[in-house]
Amino acid sequence: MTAPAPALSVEGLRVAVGPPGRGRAVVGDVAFAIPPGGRLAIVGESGSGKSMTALAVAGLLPRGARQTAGQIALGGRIVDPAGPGMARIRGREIAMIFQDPMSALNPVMTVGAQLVEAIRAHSAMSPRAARARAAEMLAAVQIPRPAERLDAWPHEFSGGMRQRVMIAMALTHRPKLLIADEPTTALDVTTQLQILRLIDGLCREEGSALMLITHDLGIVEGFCDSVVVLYGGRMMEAGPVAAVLGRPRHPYTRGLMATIPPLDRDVDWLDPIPGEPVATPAADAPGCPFAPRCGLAEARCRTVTPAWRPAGSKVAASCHLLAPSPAGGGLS
Amino acid sequence: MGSGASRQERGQALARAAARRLFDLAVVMVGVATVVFLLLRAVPGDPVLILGGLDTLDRDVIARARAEMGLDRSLVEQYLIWLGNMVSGDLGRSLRSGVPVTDLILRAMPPTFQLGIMALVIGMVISVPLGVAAARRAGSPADLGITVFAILGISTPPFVIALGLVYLFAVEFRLLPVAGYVAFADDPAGNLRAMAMPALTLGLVTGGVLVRMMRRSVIDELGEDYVRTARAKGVGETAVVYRHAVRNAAIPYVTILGLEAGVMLSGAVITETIFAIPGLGRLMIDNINARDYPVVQGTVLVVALVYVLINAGVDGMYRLLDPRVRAGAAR
Ligand SMILES: Nc1ncnc2c1ncn2[C@@H]1O[C@H](COP(=O)(O)OP(=O)(O)OP(=O)(O)O)[C@@H](O)[C@H]1O
Ligand code: SF4
Ligand SMILES: [Mg+2]
Repeated sequence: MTAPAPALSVEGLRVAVGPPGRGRAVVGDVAFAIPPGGRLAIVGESGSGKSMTALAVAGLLPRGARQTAGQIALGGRIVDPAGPGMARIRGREIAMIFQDPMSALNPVMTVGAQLVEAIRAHSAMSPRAARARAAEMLAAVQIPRPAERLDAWPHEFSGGMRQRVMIAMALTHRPKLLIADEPTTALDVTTQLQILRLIDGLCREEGSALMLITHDLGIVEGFCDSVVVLYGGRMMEAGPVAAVLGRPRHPYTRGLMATIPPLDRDVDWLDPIPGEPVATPAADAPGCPFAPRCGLAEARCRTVTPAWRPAGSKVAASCHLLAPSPAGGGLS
Repeated sequence: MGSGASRQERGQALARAAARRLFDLAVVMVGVATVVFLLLRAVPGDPVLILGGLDTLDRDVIARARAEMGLDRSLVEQYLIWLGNMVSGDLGRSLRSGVPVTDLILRAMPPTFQLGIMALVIGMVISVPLGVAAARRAGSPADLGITVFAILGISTPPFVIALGLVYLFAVEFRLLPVAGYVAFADDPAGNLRAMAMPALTLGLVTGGVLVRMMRRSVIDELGEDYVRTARAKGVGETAVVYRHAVRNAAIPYVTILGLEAGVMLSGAVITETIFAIPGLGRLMIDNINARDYPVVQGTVLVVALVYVLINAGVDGMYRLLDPRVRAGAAR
């Protein structure tokens, strides 16, 4: 039996910033796959490389950052995100919404013009038809009086409404994959849940896979089925949400869970993560990136990069303590 | 947020902006008039003596001339009379020729305005494509080349550019006249030939400034989130640059364009002198040397008025380019 090709598969992804040759790796050896219609969460503290991973997949890395290794495939087809052909794929097969809706829309174009632009980027629709479709899209993201609102300017919309517009634009062409980079972080709490429900519902309707970046484990539990935990640009642990959050193996994941209100689980290791995340070594440096802050670190943690190894059914992690060790006392 | 209410609000915002503009205009004009009046009288040199020559006039003649020119009255009286006349549009007569100052100014305006507009158009035609091209390839050899060109344009004194152009086009290739002026109405082709080098002189200087501005703004805008959104939608790179980045970059660009339009007026002094163009710059210089107060005063006032109008024009452009300004929202 052959499984359908994943909506997205990422292998050995590396991203570096700075001048070529003297750059610093900010993402190293990230690999994951999202099945069609699947929901993957990427979690990690600020600076852990979540956005860089997402932007690399979409080919939207900022100036000064570049993908230095790795293979990305959409629906089983290998793509070059930085290549010239990516413009035809973005917005049609893969779409993205961002953290800050206040700056994500062009301030000198009407909301309608920006929606129409998204529609016509991948279809030969007439301007008039595209406008009608744009109104439908605004209605789909529950903006009242959509036809009227097409002529509004972004500054006339609240943050929540702008994020709705972003969602409408992103889902116009029923992409196979929607990447949402902390879509609700900039919004107030009541709006957050509405926006997440909207994304959730529309992705379900359109059959789009979702890659949701967040540092809120509550959101991961509520909306995703698998999770990748990043630290210092590297994968710490990955697997089904229930397994990873239900019984975290990796010291970093455990620490991350301790930073949110305790869940009713037998997590017996509840020290908040000490130390500053800014002290992270480059994502291609030898050793475990978490070693400077890990309460269980050993000498080898600083010099030998822990291998990525299975840590239970469908779960994998990278920590020396998960290896069957002659000294005993592993974490699993 | 109904559109009816907001349209009414926008109308009110526009009216408020216009009223403030008019008030500013009045304040600026009275201020300029006062400063010019005082400065001219602080400069040593009696106009009557300069006009007549020291030896030839006897005391009676001098006294009569002073009375005719109103120079025998107190400074305060002279000031009030002049202000009053200014308000009624009467800028007085030239001390030397007796010609109404308004006539002199009206005659000098077309060449200066033509020169300024041609130079600005040249500056824009140079700066938009070059600035955008440099921004798109920031850091490349092409960008470096454009930057060097722009800095040369900015830092070379206009008279050096003028002499270079004269050498090239008038001496070497004999394509254009060295200097001189014909009115457009009299001889359109001759007028354009005469204005080509002066306009290019000013246009290159201004173009250099504007290229730098356009390059910087487009680079900044290309790093903005909304540009990333446009790319995420699959919009082609050319449309991303022109439809999104350049349209936003036009807002700071217009500010500098307005400043440059003002600079044109002072740049015209040198350029008009080099190329013998009878414009406002020449009118002012010639009459400062002759202490012809009314002409200098009038010219400075008109130049100040043009500055204020340019500013109003820039504000108008903001309204056109930026919906947030139209709405009267914070900028
Ligand atoms: N434009 C950039 N140029 C150079 N380095 C960058 C740039 N943007 C981010 N970085 C660096 O890349 C690393 C990963 O950043 P990234 O934005 O992916 O983190 P993140 O996990 O998304 O964090 P956050 O939760 O704050 O969004 C950080 O060390 C950051 O300093
Ligand atoms: S490898 Fe070492 S430092 Fe890294 S998480 Fe495991 S124990 Fe801690
Ligand atoms: Mg981020």
